[in-house]
Formats: sequence, C-alpha cells, structure tokens
Amino acid sequence: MSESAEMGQRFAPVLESPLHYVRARHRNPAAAAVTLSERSACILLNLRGSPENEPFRESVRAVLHVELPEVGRSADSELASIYWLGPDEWLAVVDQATLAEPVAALRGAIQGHVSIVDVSSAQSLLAVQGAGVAELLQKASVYDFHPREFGPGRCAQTTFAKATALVRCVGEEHFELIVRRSFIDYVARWIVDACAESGCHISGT
Amino acid sequence: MSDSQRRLPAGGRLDRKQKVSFTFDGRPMWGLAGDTLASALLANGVETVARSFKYGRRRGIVGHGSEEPNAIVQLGSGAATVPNLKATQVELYEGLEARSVSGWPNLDVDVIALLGVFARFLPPGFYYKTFMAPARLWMTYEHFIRKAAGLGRAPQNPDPDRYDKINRHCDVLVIGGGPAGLAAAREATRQGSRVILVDEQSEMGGSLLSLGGSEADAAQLQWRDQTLAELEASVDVLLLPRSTAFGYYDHNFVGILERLEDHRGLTSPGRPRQRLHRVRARQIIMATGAQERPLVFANNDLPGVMLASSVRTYINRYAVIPGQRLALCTTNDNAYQLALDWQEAGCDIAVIADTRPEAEGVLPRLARERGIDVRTGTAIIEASGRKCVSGALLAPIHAGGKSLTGPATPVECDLIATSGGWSPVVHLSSHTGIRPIWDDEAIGFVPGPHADGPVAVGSAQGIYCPLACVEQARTEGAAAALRAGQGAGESSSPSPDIIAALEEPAQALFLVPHTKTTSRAPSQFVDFQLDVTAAAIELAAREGYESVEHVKRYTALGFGTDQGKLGNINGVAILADTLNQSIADTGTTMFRPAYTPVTFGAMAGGEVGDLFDPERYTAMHRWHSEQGAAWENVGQWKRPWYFPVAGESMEEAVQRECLAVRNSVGILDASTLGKIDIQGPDAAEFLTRVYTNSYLKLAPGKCRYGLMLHEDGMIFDDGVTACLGESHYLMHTTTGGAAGVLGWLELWRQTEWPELQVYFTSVTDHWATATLSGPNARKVLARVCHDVDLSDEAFAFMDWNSATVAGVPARIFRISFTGELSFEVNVPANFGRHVWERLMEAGKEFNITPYGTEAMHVLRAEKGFIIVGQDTDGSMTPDDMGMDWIVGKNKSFSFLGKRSLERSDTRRTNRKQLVGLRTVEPNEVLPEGAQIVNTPDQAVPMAMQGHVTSSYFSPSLGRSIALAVVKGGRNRLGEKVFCPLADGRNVAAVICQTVFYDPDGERQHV
Repeated sequence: MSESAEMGQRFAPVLESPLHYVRARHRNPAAAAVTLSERSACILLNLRGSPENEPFRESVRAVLHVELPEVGRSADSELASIYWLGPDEWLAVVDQATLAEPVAALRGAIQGHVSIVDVSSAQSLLAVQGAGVAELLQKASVYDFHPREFGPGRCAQTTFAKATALVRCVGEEHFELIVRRSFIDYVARWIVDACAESGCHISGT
Repeated sequence: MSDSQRRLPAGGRLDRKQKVSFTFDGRPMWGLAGDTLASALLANGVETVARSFKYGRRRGIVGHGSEEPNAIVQLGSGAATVPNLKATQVELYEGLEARSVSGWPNLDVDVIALLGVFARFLPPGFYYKTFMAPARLWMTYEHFIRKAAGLGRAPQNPDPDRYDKINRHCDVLVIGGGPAGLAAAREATRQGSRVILVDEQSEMGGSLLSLGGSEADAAQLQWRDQTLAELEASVDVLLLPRSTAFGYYDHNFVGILERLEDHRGLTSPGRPRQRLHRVRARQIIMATGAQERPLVFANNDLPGVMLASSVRTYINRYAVIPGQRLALCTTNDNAYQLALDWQEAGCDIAVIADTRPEAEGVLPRLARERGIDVRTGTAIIEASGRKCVSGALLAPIHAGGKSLTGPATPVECDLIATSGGWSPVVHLSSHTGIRPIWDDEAIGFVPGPHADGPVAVGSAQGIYCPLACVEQARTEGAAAALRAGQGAGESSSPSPDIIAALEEPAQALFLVPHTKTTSRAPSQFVDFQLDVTAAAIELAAREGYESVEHVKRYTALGFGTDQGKLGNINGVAILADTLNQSIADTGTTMFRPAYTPVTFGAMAGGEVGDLFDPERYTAMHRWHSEQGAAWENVGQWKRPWYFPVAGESMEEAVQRECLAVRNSVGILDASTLGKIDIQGPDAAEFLTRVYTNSYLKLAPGKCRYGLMLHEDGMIFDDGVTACLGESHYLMHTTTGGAAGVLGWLELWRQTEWPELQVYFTSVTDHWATATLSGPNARKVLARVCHDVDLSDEAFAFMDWNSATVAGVPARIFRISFTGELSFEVNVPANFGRHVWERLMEAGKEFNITPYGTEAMHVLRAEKGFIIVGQDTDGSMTPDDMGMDWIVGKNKSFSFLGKRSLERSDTRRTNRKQLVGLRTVEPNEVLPEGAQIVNTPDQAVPMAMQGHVTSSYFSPSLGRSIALAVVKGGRNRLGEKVFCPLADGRNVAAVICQTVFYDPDGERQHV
C-alpha cells in the first residue's frame, strides 16, 4: 500500500459536494414542479486547445470516446460528456467509476499545445427536471430556451440570475446546470425563491 | 347613495350576482364584479373625483382607460398602499379602499379653490417666472408646491408583496388585444410563429368590449370570441391580459408589466403581485389602438363632460348611465353610435351638435330617423353648471371651424360627451426616438417609419374602420411572420365576417371658438391634470416659445402622470394655429417610457433581501459560521473578519488572533484569492510581459511574487505565481481582482499576442486554501502530512510541493503574508472542510487559532506588505510603493506599463511615496484616509502632503502603526508631520520605514 493510500484510510477524507449544505433543506418531492439533483463523484476537466489541432481531437476521441462538439453543442459517450465553452475551450465531465484517471490518460495521449485542468471541485453539476423548468430558466436567464432554439444537446454559458451557469438541454423538461461552486448557495437560494409557488425539491447522488 | 340609481337593469360584462363593497374617501359604496373603480363611482353618482392641480377646480371622470387625467386615486394604507392609480384602470375588489389624492381638507371643500392662491402663483411658465429668484427661497417654494401638488404618497414601510421578473422571446409580439391585435396575432400564429399578445385590460377585445347590442356589434363580438378561442388553443401563443407594454427599447426589447393580483386585493401573500416580462421579439406589431380626443371648449373641465367613447363604454360594458340627459358634440360619424346606444338605454338626448356643415353618413341618418335632434354646423362652446354640468351653450360654427357665425343658445343637459376624432396611440412606437408623423386623413399623428422596426396596425396606424383594421392587421401579421422566418407572407384565412357602418370624413377641429377671445373666455382646458388652458398655450406662443418642446416645458403641457394622453394633440394643434403653421410642421413632443407607471417592486422582482447580490462562499464557510465568525464582504465573497470568543470585542479578538500567529500558530481561510492555471510553451514569456519581473528562470517547485501594471504604469494587481512544471504555472491574484485579471490576460493573448502559445483557466473555485502561519505551523502540518519533508532545508521559503494532507492530494505553498513561517495548503474544495478540521485537530496542542481578514491586515501591515486597492489607488507605480526592486529593467520584450514608468511625471521625485508613520502618542490610532500636512499652523485650505492608507494598533509592538503615502516621503524619514482630524485635533506622527516588525525577515526563514 502506498503511503498516500495509507494516509487516505487513516483520515477517511469526507467529500462535501458544493450543494452539500443545501440539499438537506429542500426536500419536497411530491409537490415540486422543479427537481434539482446534484451529481457528485464526477471528474471535471477544462480542456483548451485549437479545434484545428487534429491530434488533440483524436486523442479526446480515443480516451473519452467522444468527438469535441461544435459551437454551442455538447456530446456524450459511455465515458464522458463534453460541453462547448468557447472557440478553444470545452468542459469534460467524466464519471469517476468508469474512468478513474482521465487526466493522466489524456496527458499521455495528447501532444502539442493543449491545456488540461482538473476543476472537479469548482462546479456543481445539477440535473434540473420537471414541469416548471422552462419557466425557471426564463426567469434566470436572457437566453432563449424554447425547444425550437435550444433542443437536446444544445448548451450555453449564460447569466443565471446575477451569477452565471452553463446550461444544457437534455430532453423535454430536462436540463443540466453547471454552476461555479462559490455561487451555488446563492443560486440554490435564488431557485428556491423563484419556485416559491410551484415548489422545488433538491437532492443529490 | 345606492348603486342602482345609474345602473341599467340589464347588459354589461358584469356579474350581477356578485356585489362588491368598497369605500371612496371613507364613504361606503358598492359595485358589481366586473366594474372598474371608475364605473362603480359613476354608478354611485360620484361626480367630483379630484381637485385640479393649480386652481383646485372640481374634476370628474373623463375617460375609461389609461388616458384618464383626473380620477387619480390612492389605494389602501400602510405598507401596502399604492399611489397614483387611475380609477379607470383599477378593477373593483371586495373591501377596496380608495382615496382621492387631491383636495384639502376634502374634495368638497378645497382650500386652494376657496383662496385662489395658486392661480395667482402659477401662471404658465411659473417655474421660470416665479421661482427664478431669489434662489435661496426655492426650497421653500418647492416644499409648498410639492405638498399641494402631490398625487399620492409613497408607502413608508417595506413592501409586503412578492414580485417576479421573467425573460421572454417570441417571433411576433402583438401589443394590444383589440380587433387589429387579435387579427394580427391569429394570422402570425397560423403561420407558425411564436406569438405573445399583450393587452392592458382585464380581457382581450379592446374597443370590441365597448360595443352595444346591435346586430353588427354582436357579430363583431362573436368574431372576437372565436379569434380568442383559436389563440387560446394554440401552443406557442402567450396571452397576457392585465399587462401593459410600458416601454419599447432598442433591438425590439419591450418591457411589460403584468398585474397578476392587483384585481384581487392590495396584497397577495405567497403569490407574486406583479410580474415584469422582459420581451425580446423578432417582430413587433403595435396594435395599440387610438384614444378619443376631447374637444376643447369653455368650462370643459366641469364634472359631467366626458369622452363619447367612454360614455359608450360605461353604458355597454359596465351598464352604467352617467347622466339623464345627454348633449353630444362631435366632429365625426363614429360618436353617433353613443347617441344610438344612449337612446337604446332609454335616456334623453338633448342634442347632437355636429360641427361639420353636413352629416349624411349612415349613422347620422339613423340618428335622425330615430328622432334625435341633430344640428349640423353647430358646436358646444361652453359647459355651464356649478358643481357639475347642468347645461351647455350651443352656437353655429363656421365651416373652417375658426369662428362662430351666430349667437349662442343654451340647452339643458347633465352630461356632455364630446368627440374630436381619434389620436392613434403612438407612444410606444416613439420610445426609441422615432418621431410620429402627422396624417391629414387620419387627423392624427401616426407612428414614424422604423427601419426593421415595429409596424402599426389598425387605429394605431390611423385606420379607424373595424373592417379595414382587421384586413390590414391580417396582412401585417402574415408579413411579420415571414420576416421572423415563418410562412410565405400570405394571409391564411378569408376575409373576416365583420360588419361595420361606413363613416363619412371627420372634421379637423380641436379648439372650439367662443363668443369671446380665448384669453377672455372661461377657461378652455387642454391638459386637465396640470391645468393647462388654450389661453396658456397662446400666451406661451406670444412670449416667443415656438418649439413644441419649449411650450411643453413652459406650460407643463403633458407633464402629468397621464403624460398628456388626452391633451397633447389638442395642445399642438392650438400652438400650430397660434403660430399660423401646420400641425405637421409643429410636430409633437417625444413620448418616453413608461407608458403608464411601473412599480419599483416589479423592477426589482425577486432580487431583494439576501438575493439582491450574490454571496460567494468558500468550502469552509459553514465551519466559520458555526464558530460565530463576523463577516467582511470582499467583492461578493463573505470572508471571516474575526472570530470572537465569548464576550470579546472586535479589538480584543483581533489582538488575540494576531498574537496567536506571532507566538504559536494561526489558520486563515485564503480560498478567495484568485487562482489562474496557465499552460503553454510561451507561458513564462507571457508572464514576463504582464508582470514587472521576469519568470523565464522560475524553476518548477518555485514561487515568485509579482506586480501587474496597466499600460499607464500603475499597479492594479499583485500575487504569487508558482511554476508547477514545464510550461505550467499557477497565478494567484487578489480576491477582488480575479475576474479582471483573467479578462486582462485573455485580452492580451487574443488581441495583441496571438502568436504566444498559452492558455488560461480559472481554478479559483476548485481549490480551498488553508494558510497555517506562525512559529508552530510546521509542527501542525507535520501531523497530517507525511509524504513531504517539511524542513527548511528541503522545503524552503518560496518553494511549493505536492503532498498528501489529511489523506487528500494537496499543493503546499511556502509563502507568507504575515512574515511568519507559513504554509498555504491547497486541496480540492470538495475536501476543504475535511482538511481544515483535521488541521484544527492537529493544531489543538498549539492552541491553533483561526484568524480573519482584520488580523491578516494588521499582521501584513506590521511587515509593510501592501494591499492593492488599499495602499494603492490606481495612481501608484512600483517605485511609489518602494518596490523598484521588483521591476525588471533588462527584459528583452519589455512589459506592460514599462514605457509609462519613463514619463517625466512618473519619474518626479516628489510623487507620493509609501512610508510608515508612528504616532507620537503610541496609543493613538490614526483613521485611515486621514490627510497629512507639514504643520497645522497654516491657513485653510492647507497644503496636503498625502494621506494614511492603512492604520492599526499592533499588539505585537504594543503601539499604533500606519502606512501612508507622502510626497517625497522616502527622503523625509524621521520628520514629524500632522494629521488634522474631523474632531479638531491634530495628531503628530513621525515618518519611518514601512517595515515595523522583524525588518530582516528572519522569522519566515526558519
């Protein structure tokens, strides 16, 4: 057993997801028009590189089994979801259970000028579902989330109330929100307030 | 007074079974569900609803919608009171309490009217004439005027209601739910557009809701019901009744106020009272309709003088007959419908005075057939009556409308209705600065042309025939859909089955001539709310005011809360006539948002209280909170300011925390510092260009402090950058500067140096940072970190190492902001609290003490470390701060700001320089911001030498210390200066070095 593994056992590190303290307070699944569910145990990687860098695209394809998505889109594989953030920037979300060391795997595969940064603790990943989701998003953001403009797979970084969020459409009445950790208490409080009439349930995995 | 007196036995869009009780100025009354406050007041026979602004004259209800100038009321009392509402737009609810906002002590006995004081004080242009001098008396005048002129009182207590805000997008926004709006919305919907239809009334239909019981009217109402049903059944249509599009802004952005609960009561616990819709529309159709224009004649402000269309609305929609005997004065055929409906309701008509030489249209013929006394070429020139209308003076009028052709004859009546034609509601369309243009045929201003902008349909475009309205609206609805990308631009449906009587042309008449001149005749009111008369406008023109905008400001025409909706066009016409020019050449004033008043609550929405501004928390926030930390706001972050233990004052807590760091070990949450991951082969070169010093030789495992300058050479950020590996760095920024620095780096990378291969990623939120500081810091860390040699030899000052801390992978930076042995432990924030708590346990033996930002400030000031933004203010160079040692003079590429450091001004020797200050009296702590002078024995204003930037009591030194910027300060060490304080004292201090504690830096190298 390595020294760090031994230390890990001795100290039994306690993981607190960004929404840890908020989850317990808003449990009302029966009467909720909006359900927020936080995903933890994910590895988040911020990838930067030129979209013209074919070896970069190829290595992402090889390691994460998914193509780097085009402008405003996301893509999924059994290993990872990738979100377009900017002309040379993507966010990859990898399930820790399926791929434990994606950073090392990518670093090993990628040549050239590319940046890979672990930001697993920097964001809260939320699934937002329910009949009240469309209205919630309209209250929070100036973006147009109508199905005709923002169908499944579309994603956008946008203002969310007075913070920001990465929003992705998963399906009908089903979106993902990715919010910076330090803003998540504010955002959760804002969402609960915005859903005051319709009800809001917050949980996590 | 009973409701039934003026209520018709049948008809109206009312629920007759539901009686609604309310009070007006304390008098109990009742109306019916479906009433507005105005219709209920009329049903109760209330004549006087207001006293006028200047003259205190009695005023009654004139209109039935947003054009109403007189019936301004305040609802409720206490926190939930709402001022400045138009009774014509207030839906009646059980228990409504309304008060008039004018008249003192009450509407019946008004002191201002009795004394006539204001009439003397307030001629046209009163602001300019009366209050020009002496200037010092303005405050007195203003107080008096405001008290007398008030249109209600703002609530003093916090608003008890919730408000809501929502963003909307649509292909076609249709503003106005009358016949044209309904037709346009239906057409756009059929083409596949996402449509929003907004209307300010309680139900869609607009003017159709005022129709009577004739066959033609019934057919139109049926058309409305069918059209509305089709819209309601469509998926992508949002219908917003009780909603006012109050502002039209650039790029087809429209603000809409939806009144969700106002019709149910004053407060709406648990549900939002109003909702602000922020709509971005691809295409906008203005179906805002037209407002009837009153005729201007003598004493036309007497209660009992109303708009013809409003009287018709009260009869047909509210089943209220606001009088017994009607005299109607009209310039057009349309108003005859009122006479027919009035007669249908079983009441007398004294006369129809038609100002046109002849009236042979369908409706005038019908009126004659029904036996109504129709007199053409005749006008009502004066209303008579004391408290309300009791008669009218009729006189024959010349075909040109400018003079009378015979003597006046009286006629008895208790209600005068007038119609001077229609004014298209152009307010919204002109909000972006497009001036309306005069249309001679429509006898009104119509919206000016917008490039790519909204189109107006129906009477908003000067098309008054319902059939033509609907035809044009259908065409424009399809065209708007096409422009938004749907359909082929062809109307989808056959011609609608609307029947409407053809109307003969109307006459353009605004001011009805009197037997006396305008200035001699009884007052002929143009703007009721601000008491502007025709004579006042003529006077303004005579005094040289020719621009309509000047006349507006000189007379106050259109300045009221109704924005002169009734009076503006008449005012412009009178001005044009006086100046002997056309209305088109005279033009109109600009209309600005909001069309009708908008509550602050709706503007704020839910962003009040703790949602007003985001609060950012670190991963250890709850721990701090559980320890009872006092908070300091740093940007949007909440940082622990100090951690008081039982009964401690702030001063005591900060002293204890400082001494703990100096003598044993303290722990600080430093997570809020900005952190930027930098990767790329050119990263070191990039850093060397944005910092004053060089990073080309910074080896992996090493850290370096840097200063960042703007191009002007002034310091704007500082922090430590670590080399994480080959071409890989971590930059620390100030807490407040993080976002700005990242933007700055991206700006230079993307726009100026795209050839440099480097990427930046913010990792501020990813890492939680616990700083151990103090002589025992190493011992504490050693208990939870076993995989790194923490000795000074292996892990030197300004080194960093990867390690495992409390079982969590960490980066440890040996950097110090206190001058003590310090380790900054960075772990992924998901484990932030875990590691913090293990460090607290590990430090128990050493009495580890959490310290806040205040102790941190004291400790760093003792060491003379600057805080950017506190000791600098955007005008400080590195040399000013005594930090010339960090400026790399020999870099090959230069660095941002270098050139500015060579300017004569930045090289001046007497610039303000950072120095230390020791007060002569050691317990005297100077206030930060205190000004510094050489001697207090000089005349005011004294010659300022600089100011105090940081000042604390240092518990380690047992005396006060301060940092200050002083002109040429570094050459003045040992000199005494003075700080004159607000309390009159002059505190003496001696200029010294900036480092007060451990000047050789021995304590951090152990």
